[in-house]
Amino acid sequence: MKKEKSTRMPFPRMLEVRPAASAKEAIERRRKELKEDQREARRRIPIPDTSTKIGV
Amino acid sequence: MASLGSQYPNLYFLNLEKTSDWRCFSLFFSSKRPLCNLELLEPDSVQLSEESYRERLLALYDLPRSYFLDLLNPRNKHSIGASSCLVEAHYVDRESAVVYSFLYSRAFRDYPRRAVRLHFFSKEVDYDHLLDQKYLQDAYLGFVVLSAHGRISRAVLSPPRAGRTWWFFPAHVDYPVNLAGVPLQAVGVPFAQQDGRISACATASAWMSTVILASLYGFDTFVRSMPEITALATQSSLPPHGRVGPPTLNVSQLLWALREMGYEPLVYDAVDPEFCREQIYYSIESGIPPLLIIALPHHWAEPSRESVSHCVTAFGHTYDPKIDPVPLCKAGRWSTSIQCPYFLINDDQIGPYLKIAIEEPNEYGHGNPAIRLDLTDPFVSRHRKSIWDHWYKDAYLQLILILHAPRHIMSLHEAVIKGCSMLASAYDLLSLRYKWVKLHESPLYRVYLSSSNRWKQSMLPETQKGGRVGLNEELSRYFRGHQYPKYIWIIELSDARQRVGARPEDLRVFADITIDPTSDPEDMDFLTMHIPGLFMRMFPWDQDELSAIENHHIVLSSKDTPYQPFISPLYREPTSL
Repeated sequence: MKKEKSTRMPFPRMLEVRPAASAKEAIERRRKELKEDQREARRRIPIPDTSTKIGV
Repeated sequence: MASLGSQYPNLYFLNLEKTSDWRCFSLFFSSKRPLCNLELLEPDSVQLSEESYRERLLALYDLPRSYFLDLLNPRNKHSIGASSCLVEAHYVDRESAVVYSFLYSRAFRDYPRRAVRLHFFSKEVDYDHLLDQKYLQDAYLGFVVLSAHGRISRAVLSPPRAGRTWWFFPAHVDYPVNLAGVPLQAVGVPFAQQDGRISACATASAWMSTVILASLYGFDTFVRSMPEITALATQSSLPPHGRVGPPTLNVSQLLWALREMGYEPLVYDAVDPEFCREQIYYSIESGIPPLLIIALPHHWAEPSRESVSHCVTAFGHTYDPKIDPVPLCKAGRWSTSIQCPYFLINDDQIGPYLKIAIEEPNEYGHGNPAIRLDLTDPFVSRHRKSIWDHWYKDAYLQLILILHAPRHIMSLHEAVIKGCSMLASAYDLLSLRYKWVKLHESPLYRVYLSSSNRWKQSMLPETQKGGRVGLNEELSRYFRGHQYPKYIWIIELSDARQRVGARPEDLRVFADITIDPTSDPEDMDFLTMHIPGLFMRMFPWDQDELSAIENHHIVLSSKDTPYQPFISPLYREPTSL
């Protein structure tokens, strides 16, 4: 079965500086995005098949 | 007075540049009836009858022994540069002894148990030098231990001369050796060949990786011999194939053995080539050699053995400054790994220092990234048919296994997301206050795990001998004076434009952050953070990152210039050979 390429991380928005009206607003937005990005990354990583046999 | 040779009865010297000595030496690596323990050699005069030589020469030199001969042959311009060899006969090797006790000690037939250890030097070495530690260490290129059955039991060899690009070995070992009372360090990558009866590729790869990790994690972890790893893996279950063929393990069993050895291994399904490259690259950069589980569709055993995979260890990468990272960065690839196209691996059945690239899936891979072996490699090209046709043709990556120490260490992608978010937050917040705070146009990140002591040691200002060029004393003191946990994640930012054509010593970091690997990946805490002109820190009792960035940042009084990143001390420059 062909697998989906879904593990690419949501990196781009992390290294972009975006204007904010206040420091509090800026940090709150980053806090929210950090949570979302970590959860999204976790969701995208498939569960590995640990029954794979190794030994040639 | 008796000869010096009689004072060292189990040591013999061979000048590898001398044809007769090389002929004799090569027989140690013969696949059929390998010369072992000098049964035909006399002290002080290493000789072999012509008849005996011819008979043995007819024997095939198969992999990985033939590969080793190429690495060691001084006539090969890409070799490790060995000029002489010291043969340590009747050597008691722990690995061979454990194999003997697990397997051969129960046999009816007599099997020899003493090994032979071969030491290599870049200069001529003789008995006269055996009291001169400095001379021996300066010339020392490592060792190979051959078991009584000719198997490469253990080896740590200096890397060969590189090809057209830089080779870096962040995951290497300084292996202690005692040679007739002289303490030496073999600097290189450990290699071991499977026994095939009580160890297979998975156990050999796990051994190679854990030897390096034991030196990185110190007292937290242990090194086990290959039969012991197999025993740990199968102590609560049977091998999937029972006693037929090599002792095949499944990934769960391998994970179990590694956990018993003190690690907390993480295993990733190989899906996206870029994600895989990132995981492998940053694991290597952290000094953690990842295990790569690969499928070999054309392996000779494949038709008769249903879907059995191979396992290799990755420990280094190439660096090609000719790759322009700017367009790649603009296309959304923000990692320094884009300038590192190949990984260097050890394959227990082929040899050390092979070069592979992780690429888009091939027709066999079911969506998994393809593995392309570099066939232009001078060592591979000599064995092209056997290595390519029977092993790496259409190979693809299935799983990546990364070994961490037991400290609840956050994973690589969690560290990248957290570190980059925090750096961007600092720019967000402080650009509101200072007009001169501006993120570079094309930032690239590099992330690695390190022991905090090792990292602090490396943060020496440029005014000190061995210091980092560009790092001022004020910033160095802030970094080195802070309190860190035992291990830290470091995320560095560099400018993609500055990396075009840059030699490694000319690379520069303009901002960085250190993160506690035991912290919550969703919390915005950090240890230290630096962006141009500003330094921030959080102590273990600090709860408010906003306050740490906005109110307690330190404006550096010294001129803050980008500084050198941490670079592996073991590398090879491109050669025009």
